[in-house]
Amino acid sequence: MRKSVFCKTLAMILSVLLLCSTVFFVAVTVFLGASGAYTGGYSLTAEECTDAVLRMYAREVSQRYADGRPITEYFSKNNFYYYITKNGVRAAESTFEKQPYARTVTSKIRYGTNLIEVDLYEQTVYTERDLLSATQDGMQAAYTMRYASPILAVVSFLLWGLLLIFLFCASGHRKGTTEPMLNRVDRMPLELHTAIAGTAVICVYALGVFLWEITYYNTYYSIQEELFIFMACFVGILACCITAYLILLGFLLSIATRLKVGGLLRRTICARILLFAWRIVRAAFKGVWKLLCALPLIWKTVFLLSGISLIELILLLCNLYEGDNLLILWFAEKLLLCPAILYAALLLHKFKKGGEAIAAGNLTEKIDTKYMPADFGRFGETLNHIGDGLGRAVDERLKSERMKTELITNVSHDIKTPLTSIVNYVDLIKKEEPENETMREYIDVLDRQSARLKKLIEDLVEASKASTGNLSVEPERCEIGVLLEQSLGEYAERLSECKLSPVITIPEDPISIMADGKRLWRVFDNLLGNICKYAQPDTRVYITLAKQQDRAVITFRNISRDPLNVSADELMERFVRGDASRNTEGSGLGLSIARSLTELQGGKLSLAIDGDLFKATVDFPVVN
Amino acid sequence: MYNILICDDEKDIVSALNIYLGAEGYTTFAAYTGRQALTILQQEDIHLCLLDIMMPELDGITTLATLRQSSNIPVILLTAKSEDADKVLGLNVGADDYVTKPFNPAEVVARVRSQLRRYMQLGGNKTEAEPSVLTVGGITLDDRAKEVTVDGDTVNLTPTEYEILKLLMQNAGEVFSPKEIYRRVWKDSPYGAEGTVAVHIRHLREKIEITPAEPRYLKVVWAHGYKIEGGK
Repeated sequence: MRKSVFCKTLAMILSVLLLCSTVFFVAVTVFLGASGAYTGGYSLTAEECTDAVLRMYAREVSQRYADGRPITEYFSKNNFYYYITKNGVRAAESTFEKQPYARTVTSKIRYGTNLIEVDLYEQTVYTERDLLSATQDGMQAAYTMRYASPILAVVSFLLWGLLLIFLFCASGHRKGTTEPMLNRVDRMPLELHTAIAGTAVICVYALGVFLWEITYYNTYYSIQEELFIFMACFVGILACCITAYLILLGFLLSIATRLKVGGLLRRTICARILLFAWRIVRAAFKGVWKLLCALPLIWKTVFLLSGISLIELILLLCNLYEGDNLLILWFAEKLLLCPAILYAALLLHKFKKGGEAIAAGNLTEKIDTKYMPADFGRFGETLNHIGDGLGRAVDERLKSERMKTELITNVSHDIKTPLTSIVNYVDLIKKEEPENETMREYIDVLDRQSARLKKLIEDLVEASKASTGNLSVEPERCEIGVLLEQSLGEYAERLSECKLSPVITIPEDPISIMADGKRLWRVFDNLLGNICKYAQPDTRVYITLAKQQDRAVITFRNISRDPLNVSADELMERFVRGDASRNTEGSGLGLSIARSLTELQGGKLSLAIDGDLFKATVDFPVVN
Repeated sequence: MYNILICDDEKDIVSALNIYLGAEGYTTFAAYTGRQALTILQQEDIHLCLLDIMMPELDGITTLATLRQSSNIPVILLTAKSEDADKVLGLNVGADDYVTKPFNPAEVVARVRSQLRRYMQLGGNKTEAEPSVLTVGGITLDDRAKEVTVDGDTVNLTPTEYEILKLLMQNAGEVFSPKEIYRRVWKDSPYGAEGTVAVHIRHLREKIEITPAEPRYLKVVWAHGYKIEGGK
């Protein structure tokens, strides 16, 4: 409900009506209380009211008579009779002469030299509808409502309050969102909104006051006219009040929305100006700070020292009472201290340079500690030692990596020789054509497994070399599209053997990268080999080359035959394969080799697994 | 028949090769060190030598260098070392071909046959140049007879494969991009159809090479194209 615009509009209108009724009933109650409707003596007030109306009529009658305007016809539909005397002489009277009357009112007007006297006789029973009867009816109605009106006042006040609560709760809520949101008005800066609402209220107030004054100070030709003007002004004032009320309500609702969304103070002009100023100040400070940081250490020291010295000198000169002794002493101290501090700064600068060199991996850089005093010298030595230690560690690590690769290479060489014999003799046994079927099966196993062993060893050597970068890579300008086509040509047959249909997208415009064609072929070889090994038969394989910004991106996408129960990161590790593919061909090194080779050439290989969708992405920076 | 010297420190390998080459009708001699090999080479009339690189006493490279001082018989290196640098070194010292362990015996036999044919039959007697006959290494293409032979054996090629081979052989050593090959062979603009070239090349390689993955003649220049080079 709080999201419906219709409900909110209805609530607004109802709140206006209820407020009006509250005010009306409060006014009625106050009037009744003051006129003694609850304590007795109400009839007196009623008579006073009737008198006042009669006096108004009397004034008008005399006025009309004095102006010489028609009277009889004009007042024929009223509940009174009149009797006019001019300078004590009977001048005119109404036609209802012998009727009984309740009360009399006399009005005297001096008109030039003439004194006009009007006597009004109120009818005991009202026969016409005029102001008199209306006053009587109104008084009557008010009296009958004397108990209901306070209750009605309270009830409408409570209802009004409830509506307000609803409106405040609902403010900011809209269809389509769960959180309260700002509308265009709410987004206005708070001050601006306040100013606009305030101005509007003041304008409306001024208009109301103006209308009020019209009713107060102007006397008119006739009661009817006066009444009409009064009613018009009253309606105008009421409209003004309602407008002001609506503006205020809208303003408060907007504040409520702002409070709900947060940032009431942030959305003000003041806050914006302050924020802007703060940013400028911060940027300025940052700039100055950067400038200071960029200054060499020695210059910083010089600036700081001269600054301090200057302040000291000024203070000293200000407090110079007796003699120049203190000044001379101060100069002497500075003369000794300044070179010492500057020297220390110079040494610190050297240490900084040395430390930075070590951090950058330049481990052979040494700090010259020859002319450094005691502790500085020792610190310099320590820095040098750290460099030495790091150098040793790095050397050792490199050596161990190299040894590992060498070990793998050597061991694989040693394994290859016996393996050759195995392969050859298995082949020879096959040629012997054993009659035994089982034997033939066993030989097949031997054949298959020795082939696999061969592949494993080759992959192992390649993986260890590729991962240690122990592999010569000669990057040159390559047309990646051509390479991809060539690779796919090599694999066309194998893919169709595996019942895979490749969908290839290669853009017409050539894309050049820096890579070693032979090595990159190995990468594609491994990726396409994996697709043949692990893709679900009778599916499509998507191979796409695209230029994305300044990178050439090649993606291989296929549906895995078995569920992939390892993460993409793990798959890239050496010897990791999807569990289900453990017992099939492959060494588990293909992806690792592919990644190492790609990285050696300055590219990137990433894998993504989405359910059964396996996606390998190779990307290289494009060269122009 | 021809005499072949097998030199490897691993006796089992020597005897296995002995069996294979013997079955092909070759006479084999076995040596287990480089020194032994050199001795046999001096004593016997050897036509081809299979040489292991890593051997005690005298390694294969040194043996080869010594051998080349007096003989130009084909030498095929057998080795467990598969690094490019080793291959280059072996070929530079004077080897004619290279087989890495663990090898497929059929491949070794094929290579032996190929080397022997080139050395014994084709060596030098094809100097009279016929314009319609193109020769690169062991491949001969007779444009008049539309016949292609590899090491003396006739190979059946499809017309497209034949045209590709002819184009590459006419410009031996020159690299052709797939687009260029398409334009010259199909006589049409490629418009993305050059992908088929790679497939044809692959088929062609399977027909004229002993091991298509390591071609001797029809080489893949990755990211650039294809070329034909006279194999060692």
